Amino acid sequence: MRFSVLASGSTGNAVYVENDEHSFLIDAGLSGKKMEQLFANIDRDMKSLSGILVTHEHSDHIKGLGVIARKYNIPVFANAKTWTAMDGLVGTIPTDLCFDFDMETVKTFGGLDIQSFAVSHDAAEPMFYTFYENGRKLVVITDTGYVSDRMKGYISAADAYVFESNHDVSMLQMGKYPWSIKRRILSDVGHVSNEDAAVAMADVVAEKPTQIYLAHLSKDNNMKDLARMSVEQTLQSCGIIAGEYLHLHDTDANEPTKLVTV
Amino acid sequence: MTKLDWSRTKTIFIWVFLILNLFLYTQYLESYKEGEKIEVLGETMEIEARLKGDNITYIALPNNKESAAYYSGQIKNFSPSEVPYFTNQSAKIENNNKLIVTMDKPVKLQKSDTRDSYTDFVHNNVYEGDSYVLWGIDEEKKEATFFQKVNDVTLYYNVRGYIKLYWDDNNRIISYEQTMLEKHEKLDKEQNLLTARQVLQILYGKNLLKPDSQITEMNLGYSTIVQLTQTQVFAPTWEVRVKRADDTEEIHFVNAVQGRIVEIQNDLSEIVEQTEDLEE
Repeated sequence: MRFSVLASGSTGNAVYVENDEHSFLIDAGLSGKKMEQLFANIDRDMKSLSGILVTHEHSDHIKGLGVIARKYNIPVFANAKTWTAMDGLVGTIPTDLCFDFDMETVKTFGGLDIQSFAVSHDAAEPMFYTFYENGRKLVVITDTGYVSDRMKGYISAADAYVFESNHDVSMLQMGKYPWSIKRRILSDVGHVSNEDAAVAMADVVAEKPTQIYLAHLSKDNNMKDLARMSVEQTLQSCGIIAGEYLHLHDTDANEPTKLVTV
Repeated sequence: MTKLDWSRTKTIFIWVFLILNLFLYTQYLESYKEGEKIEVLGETMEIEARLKGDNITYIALPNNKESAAYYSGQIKNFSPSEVPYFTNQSAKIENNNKLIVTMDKPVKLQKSDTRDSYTDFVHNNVYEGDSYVLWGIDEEKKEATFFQKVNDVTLYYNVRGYIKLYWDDNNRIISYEQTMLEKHEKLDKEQNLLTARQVLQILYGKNLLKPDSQITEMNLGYSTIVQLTQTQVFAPTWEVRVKRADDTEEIHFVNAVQGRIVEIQNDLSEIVEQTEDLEE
């Protein structure tokens, strides 16, 4: 199993996952043209996608969804509430390309099992995904106000994570956002901060080589270096030294990460 | 009756609409440029006129850098093997990160201009003294405060980056205390900074510039925005010194990237006490 975080942040999100038989896109939050460019950057073609897995209906996750699905005839998977919420936001997707992927269920594509799990976010029914192949596990989790014990059950002991590390609380509080937005981001249905993400990571990682990609960084209230330092130091206070078995990686709003094998 | 030449008519229409479109586009460009001029002039006039109306005067505004980066620094833990750095000094380390140094023999200051002599002392007798800049002198308490520099400009009121000098009645330095942030690193890409004029607009808009006051100084420095366990992050910050009508001075700090007023607790001794209480 291989993956690349194509783009991550409030300007658009997309993660690519493949095995030898199938390939999936988790969200298509950038324009069709930009998505094509990102695929070209990792030397892949959208034509060969087996499906697009939608997490929720916010525009930074579905901006290019309709265009891509129609142009390349790609099946789209989402839960019923998300389908309803997307109505009118992505144009018409032919019904033969629309599939339900219910919350907390597993779908199998060849040797690849994909499990959905609920997150806490202000969308209709937001959910993210865990991928399993040959005993290896990849978790994609962003857009959650907190990481509950139930979520931790789904995401524990993975070999690789795409993990939200959205903001630094001080930067957010000092920043220019209106109070209502700040309150929303800090709420249980907002986004997880660097420190909260690290505390959750400390609870779920197993003592084995683990790659963590810090994702969905706020453009205004976070920085790559700050997110990494903050997560590193919080992990350290939880007794985990980054660089020993756990390795932190950056993601970018415009550049894909290298395609890596889990 | 002559037959209508559609091909010719079509060509005429294309040309007519092309010329019309060009005309409309130039009209649009002109009105857009005019609009921009009016907006800029309006803003400039507005703040200048308002300041003038309230009899607020200001120095020639500095032409600051257009961009600067956030920086990080780590709290320096002093180790016993590292101290004392200089002769004639006895040092003890408090909470690993603060040096308290007593001069074995008090040092008489050389120059008559005390500001220079304090600075000379720090540069010549304190570990990495030239990375600190004199911030204030309290003649009553007989102490001078220096703030550490980040990216060659002042880091305002950081309890982990200061020096305090103490002297006796004979104007002799008797002791000092020092904290330090090390491993300064640029974070992320450079950020666009607000100009001095925009900062005045912000301060005026928030009613922080009182009538009959005088803006005496505007400098770019850094203030602490994030405090992690071992690391701190500093944001580019405007320092605006204002002399009020009653001759008292107030200093405002404005985040130079986001334009927010930075609430800095400006009594360093109070911050030191609070931090130490927490550490205990």
